[in-house]
Amino acid sequence: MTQSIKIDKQGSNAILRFQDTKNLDANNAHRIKGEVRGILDPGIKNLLIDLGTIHFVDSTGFGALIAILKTMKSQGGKLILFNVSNELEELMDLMQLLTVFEVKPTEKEALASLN
Amino acid sequence: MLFIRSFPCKLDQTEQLAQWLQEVATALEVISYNRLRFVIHEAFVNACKYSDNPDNSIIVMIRRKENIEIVVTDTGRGFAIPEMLSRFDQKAIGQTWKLAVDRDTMVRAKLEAPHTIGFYLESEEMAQLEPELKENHRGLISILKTAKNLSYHFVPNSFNYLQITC
Repeated sequence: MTQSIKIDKQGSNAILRFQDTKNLDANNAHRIKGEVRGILDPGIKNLLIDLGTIHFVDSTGFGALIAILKTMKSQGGKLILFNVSNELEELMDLMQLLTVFEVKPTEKEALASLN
Repeated sequence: MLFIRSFPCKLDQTEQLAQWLQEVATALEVISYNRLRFVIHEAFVNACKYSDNPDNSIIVMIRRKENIEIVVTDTGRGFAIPEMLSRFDQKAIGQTWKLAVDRDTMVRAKLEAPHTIGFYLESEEMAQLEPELKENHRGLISILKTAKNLSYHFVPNSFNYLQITC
């Protein structure tokens, strides 16, 4: 099966991008969470996720992101979301998740926040 | 203003559901497509998840009155939640119990009438006092965070529905 994600490693940071995926929901969230965990290695401290292509996330999708957040925190690292669309930000606000996740407007600002 | 549509009880129908809801949200004018989609998507997935038969149908009804009233139904076994089933017979009407918790919220269920359960959010402080409740029913909690009222009506092996007011 084709992977839904692509990871670019930059030292101890990694940037995750979705490929041909518009939704993160009950149809694919468990599979994608498994793909992410399969790709992450101990050398990766911080994970940045580009949500630019994602327009809808349901409770299963948010659950997957929270699980990844917990994994990164347990390794002493960070999870940062960037390129979050207005639609997705509205949902995160409704779910009171904007205080749970660190969200940055752009990849550049996400990387800068690690310094 | 009333909108009704039936969908096969399959998770892969969520994209068709979303397309229909875009038209509905435009006609309703008073609720964003994103919020309407999220609430109904969660109820639909819940119905699919707990239904025993992919040949069943899920019927979605949306009505605009003073608020937006949503009913998501299915036939057959329905989206019975195990913790609830035992309560229908054992608890008197009006009694409540703690059902689920997430990071900052706890859901309390209340037997409102025979085979009717209402769900209510409780505060962060209460949730922290209940560490034994495991984080579950995330879909139910998500609906509650975006809706004014949520209730579940269950008749064994018959017609079951979630009723949501936004």
